[in-house]
Amino acid sequence: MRMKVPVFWICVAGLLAVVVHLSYVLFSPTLAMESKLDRAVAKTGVNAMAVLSPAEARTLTGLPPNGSIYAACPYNLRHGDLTIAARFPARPWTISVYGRTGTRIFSVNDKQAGVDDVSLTIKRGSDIFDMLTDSATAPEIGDGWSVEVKERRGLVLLWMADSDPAIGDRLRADLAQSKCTITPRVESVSG
Amino acid sequence: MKSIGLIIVGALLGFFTATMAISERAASSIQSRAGVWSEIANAPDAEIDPYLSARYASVGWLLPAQGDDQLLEATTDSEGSALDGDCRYLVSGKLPNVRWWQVAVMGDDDVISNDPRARPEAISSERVIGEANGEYRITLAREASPGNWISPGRGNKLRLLLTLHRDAKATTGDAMPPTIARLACG
Repeated sequence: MRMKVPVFWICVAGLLAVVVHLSYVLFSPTLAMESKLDRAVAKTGVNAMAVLSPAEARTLTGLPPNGSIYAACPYNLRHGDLTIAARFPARPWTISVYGRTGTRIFSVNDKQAGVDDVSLTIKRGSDIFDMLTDSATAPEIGDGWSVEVKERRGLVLLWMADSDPAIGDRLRADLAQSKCTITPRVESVSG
Repeated sequence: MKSIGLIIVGALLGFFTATMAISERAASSIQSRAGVWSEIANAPDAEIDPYLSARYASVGWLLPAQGDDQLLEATTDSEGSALDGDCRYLVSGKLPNVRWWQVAVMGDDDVISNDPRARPEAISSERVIGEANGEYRITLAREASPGNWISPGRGNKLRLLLTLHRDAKATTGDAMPPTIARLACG
């Protein structure tokens, strides 16, 4: 009888170890990423595009900014759909859409798009439960020009190859012409 | 008292194993490898490992773009010795048959400059000088070198990053990672 108590508590401790392990892996980094995105919003403003400095780009991506130009648009779809109107010079580029926890939702690059002036619309899932919570279950759909997301908040990241620092300023100015705008959702009136 | 102690041990064990699992070394060990190069972003259509996602999120980094892009990392030379900022290396290989690629070095000095001309920490396919035989040679050293050169700055513990932006039709053979040969140290 005396042996049952340690065995029971060892099982409890083991179960707790598993719970703590999974919770840490799944939730702790997610909270860290949310905090990071909040700081990005504080810097650039929500639903606004900003070309990132090399230091900002490295902080956000962890990659060396040399040879790359990044622009970011933290978004919030509370008041409507987001339209990204990107203007890229004729260079390799990628548009990536991330959720508020850093999850990858959608990417499109220059080869897939076939053009360098891109308009991409990001829409919120239409499920009413999804609208009220961020734990939506609606599938994400990407057709290259319109993306339906399940998270209201997130970040759009534009990347462009920059081969020569001598023309980097001009390329940054070109990318800065890209826009990130919210189109207010038209509420339907029934009856 | 024993039960409380066991619960504390269980919680600490869960925390410790989680931090270990998402640490850089543990995350690298569960990814596919090509020689000394390990893939730190998913290949097209690959499943995203939760520990890899956690590793990125824990340091506030966004995962690289999905699709035809690939990001490889090396922390040792081809002989298996850790990359050292006090050493000179020759990074060489066949020119990748992809639409854009880049070799970059990152150190542990955490010096981030807003001036891209401050030091050449990366060289891309558009700037690399190729050899007549279709290969390329990049010198990794603190001191400036003729030809293709990247500098680790003041960093000592180094890692090399190979970024490949592929065409969808590109095959693995079109972009074999380069070899990293240590030339001299000190």
